[in-house]
Amino acid sequence: MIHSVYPIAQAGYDSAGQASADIKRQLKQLGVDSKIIRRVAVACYEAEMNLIIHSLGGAMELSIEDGWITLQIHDKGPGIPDVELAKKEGFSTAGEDARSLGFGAGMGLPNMMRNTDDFLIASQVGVGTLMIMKFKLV
Amino acid sequence: MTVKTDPHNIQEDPMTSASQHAQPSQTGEQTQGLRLRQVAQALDAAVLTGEDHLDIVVQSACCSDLMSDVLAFVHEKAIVLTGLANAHVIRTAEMLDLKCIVFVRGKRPPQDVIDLARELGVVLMSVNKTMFVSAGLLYQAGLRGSPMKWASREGTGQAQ
Repeated sequence: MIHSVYPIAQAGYDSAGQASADIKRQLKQLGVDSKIIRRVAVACYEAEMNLIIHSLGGAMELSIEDGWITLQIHDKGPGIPDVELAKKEGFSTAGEDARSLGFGAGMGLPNMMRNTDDFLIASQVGVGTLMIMKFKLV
Repeated sequence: MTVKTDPHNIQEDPMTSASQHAQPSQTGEQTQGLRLRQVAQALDAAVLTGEDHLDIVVQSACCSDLMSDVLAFVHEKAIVLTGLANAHVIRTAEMLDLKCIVFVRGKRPPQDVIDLARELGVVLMSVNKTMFVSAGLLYQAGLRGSPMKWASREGTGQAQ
């Protein structure tokens, strides 16, 4: 079993993508199928950017166990007021700084959902957001 | 194997014949892919890094300044044309195993971004043309767009 934790800082644009790149490398070393790695990488990078752009800081946890890759992403807030709205393509609350870097197209959650075999999101304003993304290793 | 009846070939000399024999191996790849070297030539682009990888063949291209759209739509053997010149473009390429980024409108990323691309083996080019004109030139040269489907689902039977 593999379990790695990657803390992600609020507005940590300078190191953005490093955690996802590391996760991708780990999966490659384990010999995971390249199509699965690609899906994990896309979902993971979107999640990492979401943490950087929107959260007050959080972490991504990678675990590989019993034929599943699991990415658990949690943050310290501010929470998403309307999760169903956030899931819609094109909806974005990203600010100008994120947009100027090429993000904030409103494709983040849709991209994550489409690339995962099992996707869960729960959020409470003032508390934080938890996402669990699972990928079948077959 | 077959007797040529084309009148244009009647006076063919051995030299011409040899050069024509070379052609099928170049165009014989069923897809209309282009070597990165041909991409650079078609665009008259400056290669910022990755001179060693110019024989890689790419099948399609995508134009976007939105990295989420690139993450959603782009295929593995594609190049990305973008006006965005920061490290996120390189990270996006890394996530998707993209081999080449073309910066349009004369943009050049800072040196640390070029260094990151070199480290990851991503070819970077810069071209003094608009995105529209660059795309047109590559289309003319034989590249086509990335299919509008969820590329990351390709081959998993759940493409939409």
